[in-house]
Amino acid sequence: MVVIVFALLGSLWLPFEGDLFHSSDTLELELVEVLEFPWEKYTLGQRVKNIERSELESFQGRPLSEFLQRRTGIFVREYGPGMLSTVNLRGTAAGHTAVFWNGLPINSPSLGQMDFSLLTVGSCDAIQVQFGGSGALFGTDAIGGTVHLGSKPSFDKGHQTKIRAGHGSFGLWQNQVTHSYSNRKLYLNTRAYFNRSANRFPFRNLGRSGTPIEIQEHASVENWGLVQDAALNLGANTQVSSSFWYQSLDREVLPVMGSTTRDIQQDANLRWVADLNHFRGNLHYNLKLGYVKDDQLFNVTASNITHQYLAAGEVNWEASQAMGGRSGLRYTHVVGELSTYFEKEDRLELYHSHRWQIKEDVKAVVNLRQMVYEGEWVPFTPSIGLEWGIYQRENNGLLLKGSASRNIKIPTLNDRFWTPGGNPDLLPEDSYSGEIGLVHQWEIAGVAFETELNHYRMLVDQWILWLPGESFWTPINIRKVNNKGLEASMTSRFSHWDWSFSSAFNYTYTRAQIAGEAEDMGRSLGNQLPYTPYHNLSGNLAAVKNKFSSWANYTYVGDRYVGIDNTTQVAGFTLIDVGVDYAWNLSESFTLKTGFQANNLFNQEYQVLRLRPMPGRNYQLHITLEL
Amino acid sequence: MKMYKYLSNVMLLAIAVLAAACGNDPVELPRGPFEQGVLIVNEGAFGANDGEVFHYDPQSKDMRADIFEEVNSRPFAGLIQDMIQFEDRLYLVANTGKVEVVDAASFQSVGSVNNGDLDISRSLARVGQKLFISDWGPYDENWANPDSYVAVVRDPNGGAVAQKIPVSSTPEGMMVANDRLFVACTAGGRVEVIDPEAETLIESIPIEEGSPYFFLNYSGNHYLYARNSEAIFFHRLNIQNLQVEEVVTIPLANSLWNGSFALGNNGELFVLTSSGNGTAVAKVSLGDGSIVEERFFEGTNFYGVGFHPGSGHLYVGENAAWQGNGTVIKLDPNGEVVETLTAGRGPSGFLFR
Repeated sequence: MVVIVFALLGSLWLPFEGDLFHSSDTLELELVEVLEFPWEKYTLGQRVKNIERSELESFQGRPLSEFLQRRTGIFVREYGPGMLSTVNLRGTAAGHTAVFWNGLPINSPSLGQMDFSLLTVGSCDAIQVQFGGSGALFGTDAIGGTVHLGSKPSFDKGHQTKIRAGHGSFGLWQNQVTHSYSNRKLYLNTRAYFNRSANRFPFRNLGRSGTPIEIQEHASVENWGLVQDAALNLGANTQVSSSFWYQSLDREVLPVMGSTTRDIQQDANLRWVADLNHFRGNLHYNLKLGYVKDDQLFNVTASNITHQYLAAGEVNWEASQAMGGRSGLRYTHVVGELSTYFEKEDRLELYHSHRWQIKEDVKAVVNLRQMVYEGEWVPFTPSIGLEWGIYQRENNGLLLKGSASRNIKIPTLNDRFWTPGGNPDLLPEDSYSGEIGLVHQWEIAGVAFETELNHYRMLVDQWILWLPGESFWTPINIRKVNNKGLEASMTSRFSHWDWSFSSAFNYTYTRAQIAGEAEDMGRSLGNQLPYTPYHNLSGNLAAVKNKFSSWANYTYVGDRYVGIDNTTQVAGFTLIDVGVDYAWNLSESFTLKTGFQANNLFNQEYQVLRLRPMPGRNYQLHITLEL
Repeated sequence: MKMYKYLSNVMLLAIAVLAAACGNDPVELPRGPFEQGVLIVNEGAFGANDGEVFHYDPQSKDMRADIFEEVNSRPFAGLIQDMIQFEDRLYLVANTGKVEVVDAASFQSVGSVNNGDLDISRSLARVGQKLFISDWGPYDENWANPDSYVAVVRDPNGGAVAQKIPVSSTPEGMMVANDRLFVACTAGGRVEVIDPEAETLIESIPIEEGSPYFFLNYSGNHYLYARNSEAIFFHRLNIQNLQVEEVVTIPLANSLWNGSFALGNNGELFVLTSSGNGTAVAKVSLGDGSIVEERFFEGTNFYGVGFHPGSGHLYVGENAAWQGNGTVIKLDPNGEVVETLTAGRGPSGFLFR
C-alpha cells in the first residue's frame, strides 16, 4: 500500500502538508486537504495557489472564469457572462497563460490561448494556479503563469453517486450527475453535466437614446459535457490511468452595445489523456499519451479545427531526501484545419529539473527546457528557484523565496499561417521574469494565519500584435512591455464553540508599461496596457457550523484603460456575493444538501470590458443528493 | 402708482426691443459650441464600438474630445462610418447598424435610427423630409453582401425604417442631383439611381473602370470616384440621361481601400495610398488627369484626409495601428507639418465649418 501511495505522486493528486518546509514525499493524511501536483516541488520560489474543492462548491456548473474573477484576485477579461473569457496574469496577454488538464497542454494551438468560459467548474476535481513565468517547467505560453486542472482518483470507496440540480435568475439551469466506483485496485468516475443560461438579464443600453433599461436578447449559453476518469493499479508499483473529457458549448455571442450583431459560436472540445506510472526503487517512470481536438464553428460556416497528439516520457529520481530530479521528453504533433489554411507541425521538448536541499532551511531548484518546432530552435528556457526558511518555530515561520526565469511563447498557427496576413517569419515572444516573496505562517490564540507578499518584475519582448498592413492585417513582433507588481494574500482560520471561521484575501497591484517605441513611435511609452487594472482585490469569509455553512465574497476590480493611449477608462466595480448551504443526513448513506446564493447583491451596474453589459443582482438555488 | 408707471415703461421698452428683433436688422443669435470649427470623425475600433467625434477650433487650438458623450451623457457606442450635415442636423452613420441624429450646432441628440432594422449602414442622404441610408445588408456565408439596400426613414429626426430598396452589393456614397438619388455600389460595380419620391430604383448604371465609392462635384460636373489597385477613376455622370460621359483615369496605384480622398482647390485631389513603404498622401489633378505629386506627404497608418477650403490646410488622420487613439496631422499647402493633434480612435473624416 505504501508503494501505491508513492505511485500516486507520479501523475495524480495528493493531500500535502501545509507546512513551509514540508517534503513532498511525506504524507500525513489527516492534514488540511490541499491538492498537490507532481511538479509542484519544482515551482520552488514561485507563488502557487491551490484551490480547494470546497472553494469550488458554490461555482459548480459555472465557467471557471467566474471563479477566478471572484476568488483569486486575478483579472479576467470577460466579454459578457458565459462569453469569451481570458486571464490576465501579471499584466500579460491572454496567450501568456498556459493551461493544462491532467498534465496535457490544452491551449488552442491556432489561437494560442484558452477561453476560460469553456472550462466548467465541476468537470475536474482540483485546480492550481501558478503565477509567473515557468517556461522551463511547462513550455510555450507560460509567461504570465499557468493554470492546471485535474482529476483526483481515490481508491477503496465503493459506489458514490452525486446528483446536483440548480436554478437561477435570467434562465439559469444546471444539472450534474456524478457516479464513482472504486475498490483497492480500480477507480472509475463518470461525470455528466448540462447547463443552460438564457442570460436574459436587464441592462442599461448605453447605445440608445435615453439609455433605456432593456433585456439582453442575444446571449444564451448552453453546454453539456461528459468526463470519464479511470485508474487501475497493476500490482504494487504500477498504475495506469486515463481521463476523457468531451464538452460542447453553444452560445449566442453577446453583442457590444450599439451593435446589432447576431453571431453564434459553437465549440466542441475533446480531450483524452492516459498515464502509465511505474515505480522502481527511487525511480519513478511516467509515460503519457494525449489527444486534444478543438472544434470551433462561427456563424455555422467558419469551421476551425485543431488536433494535438501528445506523447511524453519522464523519469523522476530521488537520490536522497536532499536531492532529486526529473528529466523528460515531450513530442506534440499539431494539425490545424482552419477555414483559411491547413497546416501540420511537430514540436519536441527536452527538459530537466534538479532540486537540492542545500541546508536544512535552504532549498533550490533549477529547471531547463529546450524546444524545437518545425526544425526551429526556440530560445533555451532556464529557471532557478530558492527558498530560505529564515525563521521557524512551532507556531511561527517566515520563509523568503525567489525565482528567475526565461520564458517563451511560440507564434500561434494563426499568427503564421492565417490567410491572408499570416507571417511565417515571426520570432517567439521572449520574456525574462523574476520574483521575490515572503511567506509568514503564524498561529496565535487558536487563529492560524498565512500571509504572503510577492514582488515581481518581468520583461516581455517580441510581443506579437496584428497590425494593419498594405491590404490586410498581419502579425509582427513589435511590442515590448515591462511588468512589475505586488501580490499580497492572507488566509486565516479559527474555531469558536461549534463554529469554524475562515477568511481569504488577495490583492494585486499590476503595472504593465509599454517599454518599446516601435509600436506607435513612442507615443505610448510608459503607458499601462489596455484592460489591465492597477488594483484587484478579492476577499472571502466563511462560517461553518455542523451542517450549516455560509459565505460572503467581495470582489473589487479597479479602473482599466481601453487603449494604449490611456485616455478612456472603464470604471472599476465592486461585487458582493453571499450564500448559505445546509446539509441533511437523511440516512447513513443519503445526504441532501441545499444552497442559496445571491450574486452582485447590491445590483452594481458594471462592465468588465467597455460596452459589454454584465448582469445585476441574481439568485441561485441548488439541491444536491449524495448517495 | 409709481410702480404701475415703472412697469408700463418696462413693458414699452420690451415691446420696442421685440419689434427691433423682428425687423431686418442683423441680430447676433446664440451659437452652439460646435457650430464652427473642425469636426473630426473618429471611426472607432472594430469590436469596441468606441467611435466618437472631436471638435477642433483652429483659432484657439482647443481640441474637445468625445463631444457626443460630453453633450449627451452616453457614449456613441458604434463605429462611425460617415457624418453628413443637412441644414441644422448632423447625421452620424454607424456601420454597426444605427444612425444618430444631433443638432448641428450643439450636438444634442434629437433622434436616431436604432431599432435593429439596419445592418451595416454606410452613408446617408436627405431628400426633403426623408432619410436615405445606404446599407451593405447582412453578410452571407462567404462574407459577401448580396442583400444590400438603401433604407428609407420618413422623418428627418430618425425613427423606424419604412422601406428597404434593394441595390447592388455594398452601397457606399450617395448624391442627390436632378431630384434623383445616386448610389455608388462598390462590390456591385454600379451606380444605382433611385426616385426618392416613389422610393424605387429607376436605373442601374454599370461602371466599367474601378470600384465605385463616392461622388464629388467639380466645375459644375458630377463625378463618381472609383478605384482599383492600379489606378483611380473619375466617371463624369450625365444626370439627365443617366450615362457615364467620360472617364478620367489617373494611374495612381495602391489608393487606400476605404476610398478616402479630399477635393482641394482648382481640381486638385488628395488621395491616401498604402504600400509596403507605409502610407502616403498623393496629390492628383482632376483637371488634367495627372499625378501632381505621388508622395506629397509620407507616414504610417494614414486613414482619413480632409481639406480645409478656408485655410488651405490639409488634415490627415492617422490611426496608430488601432492600438490606441490616433492623431491628426495638419499640413500647409506645401505639405509641411503645421501641427499634430491628438484625436480619437481611427480618425477617418473631417467636417469643416
